[in-house]
Amino acid sequence: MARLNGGAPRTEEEVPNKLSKKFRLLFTVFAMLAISLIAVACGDDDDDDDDDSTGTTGDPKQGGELVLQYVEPESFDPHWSHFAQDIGVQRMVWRGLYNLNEKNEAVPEMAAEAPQVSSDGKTYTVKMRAGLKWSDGEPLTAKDFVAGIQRTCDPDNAGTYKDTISNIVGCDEFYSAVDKTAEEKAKLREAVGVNATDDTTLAFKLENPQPTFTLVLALWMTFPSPSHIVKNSGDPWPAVTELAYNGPFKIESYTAKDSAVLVRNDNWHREPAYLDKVTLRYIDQLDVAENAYRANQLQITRANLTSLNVIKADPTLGKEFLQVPGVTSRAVHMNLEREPLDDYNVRLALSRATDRETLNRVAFQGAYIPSSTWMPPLVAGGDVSESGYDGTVGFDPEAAKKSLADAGYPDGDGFPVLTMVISDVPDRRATAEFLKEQWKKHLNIDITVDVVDSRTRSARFTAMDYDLFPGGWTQDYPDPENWVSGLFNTGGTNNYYGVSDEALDEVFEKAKFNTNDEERRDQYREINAMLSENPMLAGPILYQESFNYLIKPGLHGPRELAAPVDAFLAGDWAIEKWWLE
Amino acid sequence: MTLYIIRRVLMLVPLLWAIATVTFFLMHAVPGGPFDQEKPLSPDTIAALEQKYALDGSVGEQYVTFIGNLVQGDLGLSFRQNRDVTDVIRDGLPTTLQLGLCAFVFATVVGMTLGVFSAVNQNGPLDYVSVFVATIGASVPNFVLATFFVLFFALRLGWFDVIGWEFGNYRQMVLPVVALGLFPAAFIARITRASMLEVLQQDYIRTARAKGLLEINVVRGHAIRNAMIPVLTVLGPILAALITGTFVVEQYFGIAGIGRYYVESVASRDYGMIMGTTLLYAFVIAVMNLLVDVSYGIVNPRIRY
Amino acid sequence: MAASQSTTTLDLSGFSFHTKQRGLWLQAMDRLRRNKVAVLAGVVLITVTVLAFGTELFPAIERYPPHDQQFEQLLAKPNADHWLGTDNLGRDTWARVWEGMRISLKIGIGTQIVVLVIGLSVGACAALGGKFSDNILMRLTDLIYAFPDLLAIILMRAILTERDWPIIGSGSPQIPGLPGILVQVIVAIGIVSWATLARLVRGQMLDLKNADYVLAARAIGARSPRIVFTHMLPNTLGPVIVAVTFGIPAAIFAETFLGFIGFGLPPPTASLGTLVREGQQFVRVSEWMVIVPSLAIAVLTLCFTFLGDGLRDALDPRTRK
Repeated sequence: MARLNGGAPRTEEEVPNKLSKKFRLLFTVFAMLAISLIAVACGDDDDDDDDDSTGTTGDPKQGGELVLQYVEPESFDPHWSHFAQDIGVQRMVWRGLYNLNEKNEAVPEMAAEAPQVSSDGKTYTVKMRAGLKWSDGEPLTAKDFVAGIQRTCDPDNAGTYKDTISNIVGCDEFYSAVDKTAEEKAKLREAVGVNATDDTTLAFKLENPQPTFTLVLALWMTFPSPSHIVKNSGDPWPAVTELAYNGPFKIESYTAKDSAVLVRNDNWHREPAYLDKVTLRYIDQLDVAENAYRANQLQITRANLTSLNVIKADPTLGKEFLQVPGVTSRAVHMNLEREPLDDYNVRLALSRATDRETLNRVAFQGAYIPSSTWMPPLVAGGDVSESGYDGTVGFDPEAAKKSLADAGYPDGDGFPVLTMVISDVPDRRATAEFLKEQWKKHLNIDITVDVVDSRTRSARFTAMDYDLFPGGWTQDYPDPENWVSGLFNTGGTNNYYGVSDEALDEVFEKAKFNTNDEERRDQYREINAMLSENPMLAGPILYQESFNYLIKPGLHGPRELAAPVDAFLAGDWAIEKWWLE
Repeated sequence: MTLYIIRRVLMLVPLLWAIATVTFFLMHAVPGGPFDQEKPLSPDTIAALEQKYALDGSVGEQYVTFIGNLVQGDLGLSFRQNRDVTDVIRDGLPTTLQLGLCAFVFATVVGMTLGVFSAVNQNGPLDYVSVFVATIGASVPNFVLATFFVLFFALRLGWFDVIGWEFGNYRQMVLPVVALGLFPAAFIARITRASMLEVLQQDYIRTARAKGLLEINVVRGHAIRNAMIPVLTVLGPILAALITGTFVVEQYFGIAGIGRYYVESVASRDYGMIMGTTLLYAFVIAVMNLLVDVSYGIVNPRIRY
Repeated sequence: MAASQSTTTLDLSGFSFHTKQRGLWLQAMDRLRRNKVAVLAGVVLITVTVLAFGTELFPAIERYPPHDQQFEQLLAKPNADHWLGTDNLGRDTWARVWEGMRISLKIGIGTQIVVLVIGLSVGACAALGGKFSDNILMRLTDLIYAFPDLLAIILMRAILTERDWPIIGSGSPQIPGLPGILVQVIVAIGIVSWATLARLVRGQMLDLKNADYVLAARAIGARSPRIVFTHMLPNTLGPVIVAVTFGIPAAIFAETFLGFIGFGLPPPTASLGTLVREGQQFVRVSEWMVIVPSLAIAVLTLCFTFLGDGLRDALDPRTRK
């Protein structure tokens, strides 16, 4: 379900996957259908089974050591994390009751079968496999899963993805007990609605029915906690060498800023992983990573955008190159609370003066997909393409000039100098330089660019201290609702754009309480059309991001397994199936 | 003299305290906090995080807590690393020291050799060669040098590794050390050359030559020793600069030292880490500075304290 | 560098009191003129400076506006139209490098003005103001000296940015030719760099305080300000000029480094540092983008270094050949 992508810090902002609070409510009823949408979009592979769903070529071989480029995770604690690189490595060494496959379906992992749901939909009973073990040989029991949930809800641990399991009875109460005494906290911990009825049976109590709860049980924040090592849910997560693992690999060593070494976990309950050892080499700079890849010090890396044309033209590297479409839209947000951006014609003029094709070709070496729709076509539905709204908001210098004149600034006369806030990453710098020149050329207006560091940039965004803000959105879960709700409704929790529009709010109201799923999604798509076609809210939409990799020919897995469920590298959701020739 | 040294050592304590204080208030004045992210965290999460990392009081209260902990040698948690700052520094410092010291040895040996040879061969071919080397080292930013070194020596010729650091493995040591040490080497060469030229004009050298000593013995026995005095006094600051200036090289060669925390901790508002690196670096600089001042006294007895 | 104190100390005892200041400077000029490398460096510097500022005024020399993006000429190699090639957005490198030169010179010189103002006043006050103020100011100097430079610059850049203050604020520049952001960078680098100069000035002045001619001036009843301004300050200037000359390339380097770590100038303003940083990203596609600005930095650095060396020799009579 959740499309988890954070990104390499130097080329893009770190994008945590923050599920909105309303996520639970809305997600509850409709996400199952969303999943089927994705499944359809991914094509019908009816003959797949869980274990070998993606047909790698040739016969996998056991053994081999792999070194790959990675970005140092913030934490190895699954009950705390939110960054893609954190989640990527956590899924290599831990697994939950269920696991997401390449179609974002939850299939049993540590659980023996699908959960039993009570008739009111509020109690989930999960039967675990028998004889599960941690990597250190200790038995893995239901108690450990209870401990995992408790850790995520524990205020002392301050898990950043607690909202996802807020529907579990007592979790929010526990989490908000920041200032309470230890005894009170202990009491609240016991009250969290998850219990081990015996060593292999778990019972979850929910506040509201949530048919998608099985998916949640596949996510990192519900992973088990080795309760024989971490005694209390508020205790700090131990060093990697002192931990126990239940995934296909275990972390053998970790050197800050340098690497983490993963070796096969022999107590993993399925077929053992093919690779003996995986070294995650921490390299933030993609130009450095490319050097290392060329020197055969890495077998897979994210590709360096600036040299993409050289890579594609290279007879060897061109074949090793892989591009995977992502689910991230980039746009120049506008602060609608400020003049003259509150004027529809001004926004229209800016959007029409933006040549997206050339931007992509020049600034990103064609790495992305120019777009005028806020929702990616996959989400927005069949009849919307990337260029779907070009007719109204697409590049047209003459129309742009006219719109600006309509707004009362003929040939840019009297137009104030707007400020664009960016952080100093190459993508944004190029975007800002490009737009500044384009708008000067086509509209005769000036903007200043404030270059700040990324924390300042985020702080200015949430304080709405900007005129223009190259930002965007990364999907949390595959539903149109995730792309608009909370963002563009009046008073929405993530509405840092100053959007307040009656017509829009009306559609939001209708969609929110609509139980007809198809109609509901159409309503959200209507919102997308309103947003995109009249560039009122998202500002000029620029492009849809994609992910670019270099993969050595002897390595199988990343290319074959690449799917929307990837966290940080192509195919990293099933690293146990990677193998080396 | 001894009294002076003792006094200076004792002065380190208030100095470090002052630096800690200035840093503390500066870093809290920087806009944006450690938990500002593109997709903002919910208020209850931020509240829990602030409690967890003891950021929930006013800046004044936090300062009192911070100084209290500092006195006990506790620099707090690194948010980014989720570990004690002292642990992070202890893990990374040896690598940074190895890198810095290797570059220091390289710079000293190469710089002095080039300087002496070019002075002895003033305006000869050797002089031009060493001036050329010194020129490149002193006038091109080290990340540009590193880029071309990697492209040519590591990728084209395959002599060295692109990333990594393992003490004793020349494939991983040569490029980072040269990239880091070339600038100070050039500086040392320049000073050595100037100093040598000055010494070679002194009366006692003329006397030695007049006595019929071989030129090589004149240079070795008399000139070098005397010419080294001004060079020695710049070595302290150079060593400090090398130890505290490893950021670029660490980043470009994927070396796990502490140099990178120095810059990244500011970018991620990792308060504990900012403080840790600042105090460490300030300590290194202050100690080297102290050594320089003391060495002045030894070299030039006329200096009063 | 603190150490330069000992090597650049002026020994003026050889000059008799009645020698006019002008005589001293003329002699120095004379010596400087005989130093071919220094003269060459000076000539190159003047040429480069004139060209850097001249290109802004004469489009014929500039050939293309430095911010003009020509999308059909991306990352071009040097050719007849674009003498030094173009960058990733199709901007002419020739024009860009002159602009970068201009901005880097502004940063280098601006920084040294800040350094001069703070360094001279702190150094002089410490030397002349009595034991108490000496102590306070020297401890302040120690603090600045031991404070890791780069960190201080980053912190200051982070704090100064986003402020609506005069001169450093964004928007149209309040000092002609110096946008707020440039002033921020200059102030940030300047504030961490003055400690060396302050120590130098203090050392010089303490030496001069007891020099024969100052004692003589005092003896014949000259008043303190007169002694400071007519005798001590001019005689301190030699080492100060040398230090400042070396300080300019150091500041240019510091700014280059800021660009590398993500605290560069906002686009499309391009210092040489920004250009080098951007060029380094595209080194695989077109190495010209990094080589040209790197050479420009090298030329500036070398010229200032050689000029500094020449000035030191010229101002220090001991090294007369």
